[in-house]
Amino acid sequence: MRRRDFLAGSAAVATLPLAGCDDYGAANMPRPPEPKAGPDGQRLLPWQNWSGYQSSLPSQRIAPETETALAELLTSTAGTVRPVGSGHSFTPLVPTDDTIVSLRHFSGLLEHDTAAMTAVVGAGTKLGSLGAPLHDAGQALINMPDVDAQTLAGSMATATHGTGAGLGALHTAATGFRLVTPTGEIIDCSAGENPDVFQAAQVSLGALGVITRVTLQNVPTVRMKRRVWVEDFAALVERFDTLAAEHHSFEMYCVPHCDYGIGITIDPTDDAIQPRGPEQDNDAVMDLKKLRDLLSWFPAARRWLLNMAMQDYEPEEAVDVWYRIFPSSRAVRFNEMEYHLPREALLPTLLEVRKTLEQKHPGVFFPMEIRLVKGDDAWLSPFQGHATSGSIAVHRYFEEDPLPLFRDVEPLYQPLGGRPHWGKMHTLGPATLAERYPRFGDFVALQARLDPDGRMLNDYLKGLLDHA
Amino acid sequence: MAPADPDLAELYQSSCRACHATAAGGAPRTGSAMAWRSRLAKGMSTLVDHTITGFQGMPPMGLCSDCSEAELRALIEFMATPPVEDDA
Repeated sequence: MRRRDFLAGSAAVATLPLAGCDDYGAANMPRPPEPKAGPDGQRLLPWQNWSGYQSSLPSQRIAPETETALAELLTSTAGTVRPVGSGHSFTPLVPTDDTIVSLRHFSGLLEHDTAAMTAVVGAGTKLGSLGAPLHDAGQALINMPDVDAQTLAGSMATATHGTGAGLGALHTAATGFRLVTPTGEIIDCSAGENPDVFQAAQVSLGALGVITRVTLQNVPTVRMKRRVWVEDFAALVERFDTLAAEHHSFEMYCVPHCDYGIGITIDPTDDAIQPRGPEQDNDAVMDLKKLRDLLSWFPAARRWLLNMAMQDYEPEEAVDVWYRIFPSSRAVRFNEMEYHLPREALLPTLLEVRKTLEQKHPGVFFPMEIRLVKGDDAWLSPFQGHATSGSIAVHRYFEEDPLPLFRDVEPLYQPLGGRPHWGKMHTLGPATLAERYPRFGDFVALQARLDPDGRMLNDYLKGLLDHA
Repeated sequence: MAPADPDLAELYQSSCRACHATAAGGAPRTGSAMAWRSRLAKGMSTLVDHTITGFQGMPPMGLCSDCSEAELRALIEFMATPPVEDDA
């Protein structure tokens, strides 16, 4: 939206009374553990995820420098050991009061093959640090999420994805990797070497051991054009399939309490560089919050003002090297639920989710994100067995209780066999997961074989994999 | 700008730079005396506490899951120090 116009409108309504000073469940939010001193007298630092919702007080935070040191750590350390990336998952995959292991020293571009267009990358590399060296080597990731703070290992472990009907999630670009198992074995995995472990560990929840390096199948580096525009929401839904078919990458945002949506396409181009410019999204989200704070008691006025602001939005275009086009800054924190659905169910379900969100949760102001992901065959991939999956993500501001919204939205996905993003909040247990993932039982069995003492499993994973 | 110490530079690059080099989401910009003045007035121990537990847009630990308290303090000191300009 044009911020100047929006702020002018907001200023006009700022003279109106606030909507009862609702804290939107802030009092229900979990708090990090109280600090306490460790054995060395220094205070133990709590681990928290990006949103602050998940936390623990690990007694050890270790960053081994070699695979041998990592193997020794896994076999000699008492208690639960959880690998940690950048903490961008909303599910409690990491929390343990025992040991967390960082892959800080398994980072960077290690080698590349120009003819094969492959690269070997440290699994602890953050996606945002991967673009420049790959580009310098003449390579590009096949696709990228819109958040690039995650590590490669964390992204793969949770089936993190971008968008595009013909583009798979990040783990599908991995043609091989090295896994240090909980019993201290160091094994290479690919379609031709330890193929079962390969298919299981492509999306592993960090439960099979620690991946230290990944071989990525890339493409030649490429310049991309990103176009963002606002369109009548109903018209955008009507054109969704066409846009998805015509563009390399397409996603849609649905702004709550507004009759307009936002479309974003990304396509290869030879056009001249035209950088994206300063990020506007964070300010725009806080403007949506401001409008919610002022007018949640007067929905018609909120919708009218938002529609006015959105109508004036002028399409944006940017052209740049791929890694400067895909990611956006996400500095306003939130908690998130995202479900992956059969493609044909996506748009009808989106309309139901939008109706539920607007009618029952007028306090929600974060846009919903609608994306497409090409299917694959990793055992725990939410896209397994689909030609293309459709994804719907709902978000709640990090200081507000997300559970009431998620409790109302999640049931809408269940008759469709929806599969949750492994890094985003959901309530499914092992019985339902076993119904939705044909290889779930095989994964559980392999996990038990590789980790006979269950040392990679925190309480959450024990429940999820039915090891309780 | 990057810390002179290579280990600290790597941490800054991977955990701090994305927001603090661009002031994304209201983050105080690295090297900006004006942006840091009001923060430093709260005292270094408060800034370290906010970094550990997260504060407004600042995620807990600044997404550096294995940073020590000393490293967090050193990163804050680096970001809050304006670049030195020679008079010559």
